[in-house]
Amino acid sequence: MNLTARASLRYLARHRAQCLLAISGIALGVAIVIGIQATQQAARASFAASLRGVFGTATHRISADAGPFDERVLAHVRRLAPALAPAPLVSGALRVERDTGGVSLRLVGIDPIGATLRAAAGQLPIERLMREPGTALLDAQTAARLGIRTGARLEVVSAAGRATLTVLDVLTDDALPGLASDVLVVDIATAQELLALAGRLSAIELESDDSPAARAALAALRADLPPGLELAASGRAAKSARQLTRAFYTNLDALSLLALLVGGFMIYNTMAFLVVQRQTLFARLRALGVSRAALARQVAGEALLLGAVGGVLGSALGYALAARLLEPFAQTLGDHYHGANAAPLDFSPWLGVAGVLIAMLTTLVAALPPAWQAARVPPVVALAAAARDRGGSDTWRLRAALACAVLATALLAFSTRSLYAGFAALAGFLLAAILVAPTLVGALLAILARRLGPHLPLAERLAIKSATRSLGRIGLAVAALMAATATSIGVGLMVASFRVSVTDWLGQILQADVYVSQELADRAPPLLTPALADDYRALPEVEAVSRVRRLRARSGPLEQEVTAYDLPTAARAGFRLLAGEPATAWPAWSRGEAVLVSEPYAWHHAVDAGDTIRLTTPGGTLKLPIAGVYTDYGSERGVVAISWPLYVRAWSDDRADGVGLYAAAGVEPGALRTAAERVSAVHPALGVWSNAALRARSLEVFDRTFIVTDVLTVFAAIIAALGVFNALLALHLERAREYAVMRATGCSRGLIRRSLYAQTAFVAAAAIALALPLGVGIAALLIEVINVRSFGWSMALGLDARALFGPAGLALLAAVAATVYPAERALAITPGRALRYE
Amino acid sequence: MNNLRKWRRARNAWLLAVALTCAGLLRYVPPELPARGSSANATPALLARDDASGFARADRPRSFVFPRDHGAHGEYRTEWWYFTGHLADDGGREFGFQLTLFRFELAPRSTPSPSAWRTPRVMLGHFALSDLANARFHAHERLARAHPAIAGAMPTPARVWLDDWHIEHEPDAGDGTGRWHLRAAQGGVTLELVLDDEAGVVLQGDAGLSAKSATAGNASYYYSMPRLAAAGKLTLDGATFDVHGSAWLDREWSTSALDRTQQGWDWFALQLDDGANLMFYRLRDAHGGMGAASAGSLQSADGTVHRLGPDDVDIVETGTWTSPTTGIRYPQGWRLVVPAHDIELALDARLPGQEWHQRFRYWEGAVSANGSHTGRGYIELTGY
Repeated sequence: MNLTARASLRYLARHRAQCLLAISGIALGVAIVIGIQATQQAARASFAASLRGVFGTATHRISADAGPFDERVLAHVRRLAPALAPAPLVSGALRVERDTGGVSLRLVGIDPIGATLRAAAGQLPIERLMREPGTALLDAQTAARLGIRTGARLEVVSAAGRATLTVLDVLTDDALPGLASDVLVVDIATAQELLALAGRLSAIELESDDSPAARAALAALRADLPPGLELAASGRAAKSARQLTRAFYTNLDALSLLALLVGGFMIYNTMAFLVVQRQTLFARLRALGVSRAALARQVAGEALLLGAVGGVLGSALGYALAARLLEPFAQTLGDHYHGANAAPLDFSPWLGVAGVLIAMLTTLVAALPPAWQAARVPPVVALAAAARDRGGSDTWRLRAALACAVLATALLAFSTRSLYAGFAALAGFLLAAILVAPTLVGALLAILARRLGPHLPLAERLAIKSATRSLGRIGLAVAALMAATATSIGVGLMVASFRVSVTDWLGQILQADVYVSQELADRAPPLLTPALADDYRALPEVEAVSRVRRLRARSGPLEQEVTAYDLPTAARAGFRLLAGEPATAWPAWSRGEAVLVSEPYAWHHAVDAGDTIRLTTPGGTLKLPIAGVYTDYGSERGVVAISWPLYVRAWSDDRADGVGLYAAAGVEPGALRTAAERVSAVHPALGVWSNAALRARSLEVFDRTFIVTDVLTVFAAIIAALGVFNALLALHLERAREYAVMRATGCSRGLIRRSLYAQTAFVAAAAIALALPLGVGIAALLIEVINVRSFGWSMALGLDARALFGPAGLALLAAVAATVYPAERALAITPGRALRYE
Repeated sequence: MNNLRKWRRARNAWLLAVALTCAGLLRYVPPELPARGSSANATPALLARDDASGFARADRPRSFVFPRDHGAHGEYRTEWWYFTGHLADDGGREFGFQLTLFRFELAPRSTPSPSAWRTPRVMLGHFALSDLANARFHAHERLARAHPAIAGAMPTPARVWLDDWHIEHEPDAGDGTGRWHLRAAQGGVTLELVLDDEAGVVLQGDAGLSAKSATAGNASYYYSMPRLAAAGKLTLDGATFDVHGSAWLDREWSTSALDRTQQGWDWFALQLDDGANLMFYRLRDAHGGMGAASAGSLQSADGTVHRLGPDDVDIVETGTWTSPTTGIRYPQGWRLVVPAHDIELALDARLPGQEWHQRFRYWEGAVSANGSHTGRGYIELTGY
């Protein structure tokens, strides 16, 4: 073994604690990256599972706007595209009568034979499902929620009247992964009987492996589909549902990017310090004749080794933490995303490999420059300099910070629509902030020392001094704490602002007192015929009725959500026009001579009031001017709003899938709701909602969507606190001798303890003081750049106190808590021993 | 991705089980055998259930009436229409073909329902073409639940179909042998044939009751039409051939014909050039030897039918072929001797790769016969 290697080993062996801390520092950095990535993967997998349709693997689906269609189409499709494994589906709503009231479930009829069976494992009682009428399978989540067990008999009300279903089995996630919840799976014959849909199908699911043959089969099918039917990718069909999912994705992306930065810095910080500390040793080695290259090789090898060990540990820790944190949220996540069960956290081995590689690369990048620098200067100079300076200079960091900030600003200035540029700018600003942070914290402490110093008691004065001096050691850990806190604040503020905007919007758009709406799953035919709407209108409790019908039309090559409204004039107040003149827009719209588009539509299509839009409807292609742009958070892809007369004309239909009821003067909403329920009882798929309930439900969906950001915030806080703990432990161990000297010169243990905690508090407070404005900045970027560029949603940045100070308090608490062990450990060493030890 | 694969595996395993049960398909192969290579849970309820109550049983001789018996016998659990044959175009280019449709009932009867899906019937189809000149084997499999627009089997006149694969019987005024129409297309192969009877109906076993083991009731009703003159059109990769040749039809229906101690099954159907037709199935016992229930028949050129038992026929394998796809080793050459009738034949596969390796695995292909007689035929090998 050569001299450098022995020197390195000796050093690491003598400073075992240092070495362990370095490894744990690296591991923490990797953990935050891997943990957030794993969380994100799980959330995505959970959502992706829900896109696969009832049984998962369907990639395309044939359905009709008009609702269930003739099942003989299946024979045609089977002949035309046997390779796509066409599978029939019959579905609709059904109410299970319970002692505690009715529960609405979705009934899904499948053909378990042949290609239909996309997922069933051998243990499913498929044969009984087929052989025995009135048998069903229920997903485990719903079964548990409703307290239904295998063998239970359910009294159900469906389109065909009352019936009894026997639950053959409760499906666990193993048996049917990705099965939606709130679903009763039955044989297709049973479904047709219960839903009075004999001879009709709701959809045909197809499975394309994207091979040329499959693509050709899809094209042939498209060309030869009977009129009224359409073939769409399942993913696209699901996307057109009203979801906040992409918002969720984009914000997850932003978070993992920030996590990568924070984690990378923790690794960098740890490794760089381990090398900088040894500048004296390197200088000695150079003086002994060790070549610069040999020294660099040694440091590189050491960095790679530590990186590898830390990377492996960090990947495991990150995964474990993610699994732990996700557990309580899995249910909620599952409930929301189309009711899919949350996918089990599937640890991709590549994620682990990536973690290790990130760690090794970052340690190498962190270790080499200081080592090279140490090796470059003549040994004598280095020996002298190393004795003086342990922290390194601020200059390069400030220069790098400036470069990052300039680059980020330029990115924002020169791009207007690119989401990636937005992300890059966000990363740039955060990086700049991290780089500047140690210097700014130092400056803040200096001000504190100058202004307050003379008035403070000894312990606090000592603390400020000591903190200033230790910045070189813990500066980047503090920067990481600041970045994590700022990220949490930023995301929290964004979500809070978003929520306020959505709440306002809901308050405005929900003008009616009671809503009757139809479950839109599987495009059942609209139930609210004009006659039924008249039944509601005839109620003495009802003053006016609005109607709505959700449609789809083709706009160029894309499918477009179109909503038709039949609005009493009072309901127009629900639309907040961002562009367009209300005085002219509404009359033109009412006459069917113009459309309104939602804000995301305007953003995605880069159109504004006055532009023209083309829509291909069953009645031909419409070319209409846009009369106005209105606020809408209901659809991220955007909606075109048309008036009822235009709908009747273009679609030759006058049925609605939702109605809003306005209470007559003096009628309580409760009474109106009861009256509406009486009329709605004719069909189990009609749900009655009071204004307040609908609003609450919408916000509940919103909150659930963003709940995973809470998980990530907590995660970031934990990791940042562990980082501070790590840095403080190293610091206090290093200073043990100093404390011993203080003790020996008569300082009490209490005084030193107080000083240590005060030191942490000062540093953390400084970091938090920086995190607050930075967090607001991140929120502003998320709102003004990321969300706008993703969805075209505008919202006002609001300073929600909880979002602002919650993470700040958490960070302070975490930092102080992280002081306990390092401080007590340092104090536990008796002065004599500490002095001898050095 | 993992889940996706898991589902596919599970699905395939399950389909395998359905197919196998449908099957007596692999005529009397015990279900355990071809299930090898698939997971243990692949033998689900469908197979585990030996409950035959409610179904009719093939436990005594019956009188066959044609054309009625060409059609479906829905009161029995399984049934098949099994056509194999040799074809050639005017230039002498040779082909072998197989078109088989199976009917399987999951339950003895269905309850009345407005839904056409309220049926316990499942249909399975196999369609293969052996392009002997180019040494290519095209094989396609389909499975569907019965539905008037998709798949089914009708009693009289016999009509069996699965999507656009059709087998139809056109009765005539005479003895009921009539004429068969076959039509099937998939993957660049389209076959349309008309088959006219040449040798009448041969009732196998005891006047059509074919015992498959010593256990009573483990039997099927089994008749063959061993020689059908075939003529029609074959389209292969865009080229259309006028083809003619000779086909063999096997018809069986039963409720329980399996015996779990048997290893596998070799089925021989040979049309000899002197006009004789020989059918023999060897049920291999646990050691691969000739099982006691092995049986067959020899129809002489004059129409006389001689029953053959395990002691009447001697079969020796003379060659093997190992499938590069499945790794299974099949015999590919035989010496088949029927001493009492002075028959000693060397049988050789016309093409080695006539192996089915989709949802389950077996070998079924065209063979040539030489020796005391010349001729041609089809052999099916299962349980290897």
